[in-house]
Amino acid sequence: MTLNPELLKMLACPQCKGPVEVNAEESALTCSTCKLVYAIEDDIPIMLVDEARPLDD
Amino acid sequence: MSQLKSPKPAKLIIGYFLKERSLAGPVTEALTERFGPTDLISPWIPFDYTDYYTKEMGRPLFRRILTFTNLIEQDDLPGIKLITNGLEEQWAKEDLRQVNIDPGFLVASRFVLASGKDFTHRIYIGQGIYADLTLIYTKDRFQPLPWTYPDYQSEPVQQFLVKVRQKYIIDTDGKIR
Repeated sequence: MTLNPELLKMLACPQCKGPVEVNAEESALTCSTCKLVYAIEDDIPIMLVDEARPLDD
Repeated sequence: MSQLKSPKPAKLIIGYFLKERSLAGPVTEALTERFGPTDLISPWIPFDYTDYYTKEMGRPLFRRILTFTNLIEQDDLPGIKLITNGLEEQWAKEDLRQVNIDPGFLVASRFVLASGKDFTHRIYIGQGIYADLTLIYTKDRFQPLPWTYPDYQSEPVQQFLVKVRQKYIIDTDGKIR
Protein backbone atom coordinates (compact mmCIF):
# COMPACT_ATOMS: atom_id res chain seq x y z
CA MET A 1 0.00 0.00 0.00
CA THR A 2 1.26 3.44 -0.88
CA LEU A 3 -1.12 5.33 1.38
CA ASN A 4 0.91 7.03 4.09
CA PRO A 5 0.31 5.02 7.30
CA GLU A 6 0.18 8.25 9.29
CA LEU A 7 -2.56 9.56 6.99
CA LEU A 8 -4.44 6.28 7.30
CA LYS A 9 -4.55 6.70 11.09
CA MET A 10 -6.30 10.05 10.67
CA LEU A 11 -8.87 9.05 8.07
CA ALA A 12 -12.43 8.65 9.24
CA CYS A 13 -15.81 8.12 7.64
CA PRO A 14 -16.98 11.62 6.68
CA GLN A 15 -20.56 10.62 7.45
CA CYS A 16 -20.30 9.15 10.95
CA LYS A 17 -16.69 10.17 11.79
CA GLY A 18 -16.04 6.56 12.76
CA PRO A 19 -13.03 4.46 11.77
CA VAL A 20 -12.51 3.11 8.26
CA GLU A 21 -10.65 -0.01 7.24
CA VAL A 22 -8.54 -0.58 4.16
CA ASN A 23 -9.81 -3.55 2.13
CA ALA A 24 -7.67 -6.53 1.15
CA GLU A 25 -6.94 -5.10 -2.30
CA GLU A 26 -6.01 -1.74 -0.75
CA SER A 27 -8.28 -0.07 -3.25
CA ALA A 28 -10.92 1.24 -0.87
CA LEU A 29 -11.75 2.18 2.70
CA THR A 30 -14.85 0.75 4.33
CA CYS A 31 -17.03 2.12 7.10
CA SER A 32 -18.80 -0.87 8.62
CA THR A 33 -21.18 1.38 10.58
CA CYS A 34 -22.48 3.29 7.56
CA LYS A 35 -21.84 0.37 5.20
CA LEU A 36 -20.13 2.72 2.79
CA VAL A 37 -17.04 2.15 0.69
CA TYR A 38 -14.72 5.05 -0.17
CA ALA A 39 -12.50 4.45 -3.18
CA ILE A 40 -8.77 4.96 -3.28
CA GLU A 41 -7.92 6.20 -6.78
CA ASP A 42 -4.31 6.66 -7.85
CA ASP A 43 -3.36 6.48 -4.15
CA ILE A 44 -5.81 9.29 -3.32
CA PRO A 45 -8.52 8.44 -0.76
CA ILE A 46 -11.84 9.89 -1.93
CA MET A 47 -13.41 10.76 1.41
CA LEU A 48 -16.61 12.30 0.07
CA VAL A 49 -19.94 10.82 1.08
CA ASP A 50 -21.53 11.59 -2.30
CA GLU A 51 -18.88 9.51 -4.03
CA ALA A 52 -19.05 6.53 -1.70
CA ARG A 53 -20.79 3.37 -2.79
CA PRO A 54 -22.89 1.09 -0.60
CA LEU A 55 -20.98 -1.87 0.79
CA ASP A 56 -23.32 -4.38 -0.75
CA ASP A 57 -22.86 -3.09 -4.34
CA MET B 1 -30.99 26.93 23.70
CA SER B 2 -30.25 27.54 20.02
CA GLN B 3 -32.18 25.74 17.30
CA LEU B 4 -29.83 23.74 15.14
CA LYS B 5 -29.95 24.40 11.42
CA SER B 6 -28.25 22.65 8.54
CA PRO B 7 -25.20 24.55 7.28
CA LYS B 8 -25.61 26.38 4.01
CA PRO B 9 -24.06 24.88 0.84
CA ALA B 10 -20.87 26.63 -0.14
CA LYS B 11 -19.05 27.77 -3.25
CA LEU B 12 -16.00 25.62 -3.91
CA ILE B 13 -12.96 27.75 -4.72
CA ILE B 14 -9.62 26.25 -5.65
CA GLY B 15 -6.58 28.43 -6.05
CA TYR B 16 -3.31 27.13 -7.32
CA PHE B 17 0.09 28.56 -8.06
CA LEU B 18 2.93 27.28 -10.17
CA LYS B 19 5.92 28.29 -12.25
CA GLU B 20 5.07 26.55 -15.52
CA ARG B 21 1.79 27.98 -16.76
CA SER B 22 1.62 25.18 -19.33
CA LEU B 23 0.50 22.98 -16.44
CA ALA B 24 -2.70 25.03 -16.10
CA GLY B 25 -4.51 22.88 -18.65
CA PRO B 26 -3.82 19.53 -16.98
CA VAL B 27 -4.50 21.01 -13.53
CA THR B 28 -7.85 22.42 -14.60
CA GLU B 29 -8.77 19.18 -16.36
CA ALA B 30 -7.99 17.11 -13.27
CA LEU B 31 -9.95 19.44 -11.01
CA THR B 32 -13.01 19.58 -13.27
CA GLU B 33 -12.94 15.82 -13.68
CA ARG B 34 -13.24 15.52 -9.94
CA PHE B 35 -15.33 18.54 -8.92
CA GLY B 36 -17.35 19.38 -12.01
CA PRO B 37 -17.35 22.38 -14.35
CA THR B 38 -15.74 25.69 -13.46
CA ASP B 39 -17.66 28.92 -13.73
CA LEU B 40 -15.36 31.80 -12.80
CA ILE B 41 -11.63 31.80 -13.48
CA SER B 42 -9.34 34.56 -12.28
CA PRO B 43 -6.67 36.09 -14.46
CA TRP B 44 -3.09 35.09 -13.77
CA ILE B 45 -1.95 36.91 -10.64
CA PRO B 46 1.79 37.17 -9.89
CA PHE B 47 2.57 35.22 -6.74
CA ASP B 48 5.48 37.22 -5.41
CA TYR B 49 4.64 37.88 -1.79
CA THR B 50 7.09 35.42 -0.33
CA ASP B 51 10.27 33.50 -1.08
CA TYR B 52 9.06 30.53 0.99
CA TYR B 53 8.30 28.40 -2.08
CA THR B 54 11.26 29.45 -4.25
CA LYS B 55 13.54 26.58 -3.28
CA GLU B 56 10.84 23.98 -3.98
CA MET B 57 9.04 25.49 -6.94
CA GLY B 58 11.34 28.12 -8.47
CA ARG B 59 10.26 31.56 -9.57
CA PRO B 60 8.49 33.53 -10.85
CA LEU B 61 5.29 31.94 -9.63
CA PHE B 62 1.77 32.69 -10.77
CA ARG B 63 -1.58 32.15 -9.09
CA ARG B 64 -4.94 31.41 -10.62
CA ILE B 65 -8.25 30.86 -8.82
CA LEU B 66 -11.07 28.67 -10.09
CA THR B 67 -14.63 28.44 -8.84
CA PHE B 68 -16.93 25.55 -9.50
CA THR B 69 -20.55 25.51 -10.57
CA ASN B 70 -21.56 22.69 -8.23
CA LEU B 71 -22.02 23.87 -4.66
CA ILE B 72 -20.51 21.71 -1.92
CA GLU B 73 -21.38 20.80 1.63
CA GLN B 74 -19.10 22.67 4.00
CA ASP B 75 -18.00 19.43 5.64
CA ASP B 76 -16.71 18.13 2.30
CA LEU B 77 -13.66 20.38 2.72
CA PRO B 78 -11.37 17.79 4.36
CA GLY B 79 -12.11 15.23 1.64
CA ILE B 80 -11.48 17.84 -1.04
CA LYS B 81 -8.15 18.81 0.52
CA LEU B 82 -7.06 15.17 0.57
CA ILE B 83 -7.79 14.96 -3.14
CA THR B 84 -5.87 18.12 -4.00
CA ASN B 85 -2.95 16.95 -1.84
CA GLY B 86 -2.91 13.76 -3.89
CA LEU B 87 -2.92 15.71 -7.14
CA GLU B 88 0.03 17.81 -5.94
CA GLU B 89 1.93 14.60 -5.27
CA GLN B 90 1.07 13.21 -8.68
CA TRP B 91 2.59 16.22 -10.42
CA ALA B 92 5.60 16.48 -8.14
CA LYS B 93 9.05 15.77 -9.58
CA GLU B 94 11.56 14.22 -7.20
CA ASP B 95 9.31 15.16 -4.27
CA LEU B 96 9.28 18.83 -5.31
CA ARG B 97 5.81 20.20 -6.03
CA GLN B 98 5.26 21.64 -9.48
CA VAL B 99 1.88 23.04 -8.43
CA ASN B 100 0.53 24.11 -5.06
CA ILE B 101 -3.25 23.69 -4.81
CA ASP B 102 -5.33 25.48 -2.16
CA PRO B 103 -8.97 24.42 -1.88
CA GLY B 104 -11.46 26.40 0.14
CA PHE B 105 -15.02 27.57 0.14
CA LEU B 106 -17.00 30.77 0.24
CA VAL B 107 -20.33 31.49 1.83
CA ALA B 108 -21.86 34.96 2.08
CA SER B 109 -20.06 35.89 5.27
CA ARG B 110 -16.64 34.32 4.92
CA PHE B 111 -13.94 32.61 2.92
CA VAL B 112 -12.27 29.54 4.39
CA LEU B 113 -9.18 27.68 3.22
CA ALA B 114 -8.17 24.13 4.07
CA SER B 115 -4.74 23.41 5.47
CA GLY B 116 -2.84 20.36 6.55
CA LYS B 117 -0.93 22.37 9.14
CA ASP B 118 -2.06 23.17 12.66
CA PHE B 119 -1.84 26.76 13.78
CA THR B 120 -3.26 28.90 16.57
CA HIS B 121 -6.22 30.16 14.55
CA ARG B 122 -7.07 26.97 12.66
CA ILE B 123 -9.81 24.54 13.65
CA TYR B 124 -9.46 20.78 13.12
CA ILE B 125 -12.12 19.49 10.75
CA GLY B 126 -11.08 15.86 10.41
CA GLN B 127 -8.97 13.67 8.11
CA GLY B 128 -5.82 15.51 9.24
CA ILE B 129 -7.12 18.82 7.86
CA TYR B 130 -7.69 22.21 9.47
CA ALA B 131 -9.97 25.09 8.47
CA ASP B 132 -8.35 28.51 8.19
CA LEU B 133 -10.79 31.41 8.45
CA THR B 134 -9.04 33.50 5.82
CA LEU B 135 -11.41 36.42 5.12
CA ILE B 136 -14.68 37.71 6.55
CA TYR B 137 -17.21 39.72 4.54
CA THR B 138 -18.28 42.90 6.23
CA LYS B 139 -18.70 46.55 5.23
CA ASP B 140 -19.06 45.55 1.57
CA ARG B 141 -15.73 43.82 1.22
CA PHE B 142 -13.69 40.84 2.33
CA GLN B 143 -11.76 41.91 5.38
CA PRO B 144 -8.40 40.29 6.12
CA LEU B 145 -7.53 38.91 9.50
CA PRO B 146 -4.15 39.10 11.21
CA TRP B 147 -3.15 35.73 9.75
CA THR B 148 -4.50 36.19 6.21
CA TYR B 149 -1.95 35.27 3.53
CA PRO B 150 -0.72 38.43 1.72
CA ASP B 151 -1.94 37.27 -1.69
CA TYR B 152 -5.48 36.84 -0.36
CA GLN B 153 -5.29 40.41 0.92
CA SER B 154 -4.28 41.72 -2.50
CA GLU B 155 -6.64 43.84 -4.58
CA PRO B 156 -6.85 41.44 -7.58
CA VAL B 157 -7.87 38.55 -5.34
CA GLN B 158 -10.26 40.74 -3.37
CA GLN B 159 -11.98 41.92 -6.55
CA PHE B 160 -12.28 38.36 -7.81
CA LEU B 161 -13.76 37.06 -4.57
CA VAL B 162 -16.35 39.84 -4.49
CA LYS B 163 -17.50 38.71 -7.95
CA VAL B 164 -17.58 35.11 -6.75
CA ARG B 165 -19.71 36.16 -3.78
CA GLN B 166 -22.12 37.99 -6.05
CA LYS B 167 -22.48 34.88 -8.20
CA TYR B 168 -22.95 32.74 -5.11
CA ILE B 169 -25.77 35.01 -3.93
CA ILE B 170 -27.42 34.85 -7.37
CA ASP B 171 -26.98 31.08 -7.61
CA THR B 172 -28.63 30.60 -4.24
CA ASP B 173 -31.57 32.82 -5.24
CA GLY B 174 -30.49 35.72 -3.10
CA LYS B 175 -31.79 33.99 0.00
CA ILE B 176 -28.44 33.58 1.63
CA ARG B 177 -26.92 36.53 3.49
